[in-house]
Parts: sequence; structure tokens; C-alpha cells
Amino acid sequence: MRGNAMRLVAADVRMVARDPLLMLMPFVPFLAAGALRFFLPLLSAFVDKATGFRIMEYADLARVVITLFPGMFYGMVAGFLLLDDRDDGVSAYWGATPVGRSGYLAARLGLFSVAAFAAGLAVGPVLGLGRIGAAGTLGTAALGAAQVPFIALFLAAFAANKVEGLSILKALSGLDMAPIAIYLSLPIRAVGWPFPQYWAAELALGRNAPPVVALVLGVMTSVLWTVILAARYRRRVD
Amino acid sequence: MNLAVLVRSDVRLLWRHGFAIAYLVVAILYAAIISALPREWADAVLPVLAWSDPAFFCFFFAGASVCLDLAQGTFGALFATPLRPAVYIAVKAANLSVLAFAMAAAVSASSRGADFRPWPLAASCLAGGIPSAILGASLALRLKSINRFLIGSMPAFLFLALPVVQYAAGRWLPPWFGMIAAMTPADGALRLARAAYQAVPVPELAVGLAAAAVWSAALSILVLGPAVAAARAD
Repeated sequence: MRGNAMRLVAADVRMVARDPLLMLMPFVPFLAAGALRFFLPLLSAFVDKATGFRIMEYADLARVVITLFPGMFYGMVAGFLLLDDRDDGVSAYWGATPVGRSGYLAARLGLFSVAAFAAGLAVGPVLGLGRIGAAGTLGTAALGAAQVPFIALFLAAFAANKVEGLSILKALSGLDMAPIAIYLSLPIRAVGWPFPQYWAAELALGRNAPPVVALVLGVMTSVLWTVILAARYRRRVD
Repeated sequence: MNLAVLVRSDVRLLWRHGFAIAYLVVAILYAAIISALPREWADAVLPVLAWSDPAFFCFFFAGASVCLDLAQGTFGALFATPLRPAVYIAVKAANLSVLAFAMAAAVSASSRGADFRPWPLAASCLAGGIPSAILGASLALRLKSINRFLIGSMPAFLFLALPVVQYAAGRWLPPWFGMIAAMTPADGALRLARAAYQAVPVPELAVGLAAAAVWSAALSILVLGPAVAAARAD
């Protein structure tokens, strides 16, 4: 079964490598980070002049968000691939193959999660702004990678098609702001607690919780979401 | 062609696809954030927020709709009707622009009460949404699958975003950048969005509206038309 799952991973890699457009996909977070590196200081100067608010004082938070971004983006791509497979009726047949339905999900989501973890580690230096320690970067990239199953399964479990997937992504885009919640006071801050993105920011910046506690809670929320959404996805495919 | 039927069925589709709920979620979130900001901060952010949703989201929405139509084979059926593809896409964008307007108005009210002008806001949603949607649909017809569209449309998306770069950082950028940004499809919409919250000279708004109309017509004829023809030939 492990060999079959690896063949599935290899097939996904080939699918991406064969298409010049899809081959750009792994680099999108780096392009975004490069653009922010140029644009954020300019925006900061404008906002400072107009309002007195200094964006660059929150550069560490921007670094957390950009470290989380590959997970969000690759999760979206993986989610649309799952939707494609479900629309084409392919998903239902995986259960009858040696890989099995779980192997199919693990291979597809695992590949994108590993890619998101590697990109999360590498994208910070491309941004070049803000500073979070090595342990914080590792933990944030890991929680960022855990967004892949979260986003992908959310799309595949609740969207009937690609257009519905887009409307779900629009609602999920609010999660981009979850890290900002660490600057809010209780009880509003608690709105961020169910989401790993919030705990990633706590882990990296240690504002309201010790990093170890933030990591444990981040992992727990990620696992819980993945289990719930995977069960929902299976029911949908069945 | 019965335009009212087309509008009604498209509104029903938007509802079924959950867009009204998605907009409600995002509107509540934005309103909570904007109302927590000091007034001058909110004033700087509101035009961008009101402009970006129709300009960007209509682009992706139209693209995703076309990808779905292509996958389900319904796009081909359109050719058997008197409906023109540009009208089909414009109606989709207009309906989504109504949702975007409702969201922008609710978020504006959360920060400024009744102290904003709804008509320029509504015009901004349409002027931003329609040309962006035509561009998004054209690219989706060429790129065919949703993931290829999401990645392949990035340069066009960045092109659409130039006015906001000019808005935020124009004084630090060379003059030629401003000239290019002013010639992009959604620039007029940003001028209209600004007019909802501050005084903008009327001629500037008229030029903005005219530019959006010209862009919509030009994109329909020069970009969408050939893309439809190519998709039809496949």
C-alpha cells in the first residue's frame, strides 16, 4: 500500500511538472513574499503619513502570515484537485484500489503539506522583514502545513462544485486575519482560539501564551479540524 | 432574449452556491475590524475595501464559473441560444456587484453611519466588476481548468491591482507608474469608490465611468470574443 501511495504522489508531481503553468504553483508564495518585501515599506510610509499607524512595527506578524501562506495556497490547490476528482467520479473508485480512500487522501494531502512546510521555512527570508526565532519559524511552518488538509478538506467536504468552492474560500479568507486576534483583548480574542492560524501567531510571537502551549493547542486544533472534515468528506463521497 | 429571466436564474445560482452567506460572513468580519479602527484609519481603508471586492472577486468568480461551465459542458449549450457570452458574463458580474455593494455599504455604515454616498459606491461596484469579470472569463476559457486559471491569471490579476498600488504608494513611485495604473480596467472604479467617502471632481468620475465602459466593450470584442471562438473550436 505504501508503494502504491508513493506512486500516487509521483503521479501528482508529474501532473504538476508536465504543465508549465502548474509548475509555477510552488513559487507563488515566494512571488507574494517578494512583492510584499517591496510594497509593505511603501504602504507603511503612506499609512503612517495618513493615519499615524506604523505597519512596520507589525513586521513580525507579517512574517507569521507569509509563513502560513503556502499552507493556505497549496491547500486551496489540493482542495480544487479533490473537487475535480469528486466531480469526475474518480474519488469513489479509490476505495476499490490497493491505495484505498485513506491512502488517496494521505498521498494527495501529504504531498502538498510537505511542500507547504518546506515553502513555509524558506519564504520568510524572501520577505526579509520582521524576525521570528528558528523554533518559532519551524512551529509556524508546521502549523502552516497543517492548513493544507484543513482548507482542502473544507472545500471538498462542503462545496458542490468549483464555484461553490470559491464562495467557501471567500468565507475562509477571514482566517487570514486570525493571527491579528493575538492583539485583541479578551473576550474578543477567544474568537481566534479554535483556529490553528491564531495559535501559530501565539507560538511565533508569544504574546498571550507560552510557545509550547501555543504549539500544543495549534496541533490539537489542526488534528481536530482534519478528523472532523475528513469524516464529513467521506460521508459526502459515499 | 429575456434578460430578466437570465438575471433571476443567475441570482438563484448565486444563492445556491452560498455567495450571499459568504458575503455576510466577510461583511461581519470587515465591519467588526473597520468599526474598531479610528475614523481616519477607516477612511483610508474603506475605498480600497469597497473597490477590491468587485474588482478582484468578480475576476475569479467569472473564471471559476466558466471553468465549471466548461467541465459540465454547459458552455457549449450557450451557443445554441441568442445569448451573447459578454452579456452572460456581465449579468453574472452585475449580480455579484450587487452583493459587493451591499457588503461595502454595510461596512461603510459600521464606520461612518450614513456619512457616505451610496451612488458612487454602487457605480464603483459595477465599473470594477464587469470589466474584471470579462477578463477573468476570457482567461478561464483559454486556461480551461480552475488550478491553471488560478495560477495563469496572476499577471492579469496584478495588472488589475495597479490602481491600488498607485493609491497607497503613488507619491513614492515614478510618474509613469501612475500613468499606467490610470489606464487599467479597474482604475475608474477606484475613483468612484473614493468619491463615496470624499470629494472627487465630477469630470474625473465621468472619465472613470467612461473608461470602465470602454474597457468592458474592448475586452468583450478583443479578448472574450476570440477566447469564445477558440473554446468553440476545441
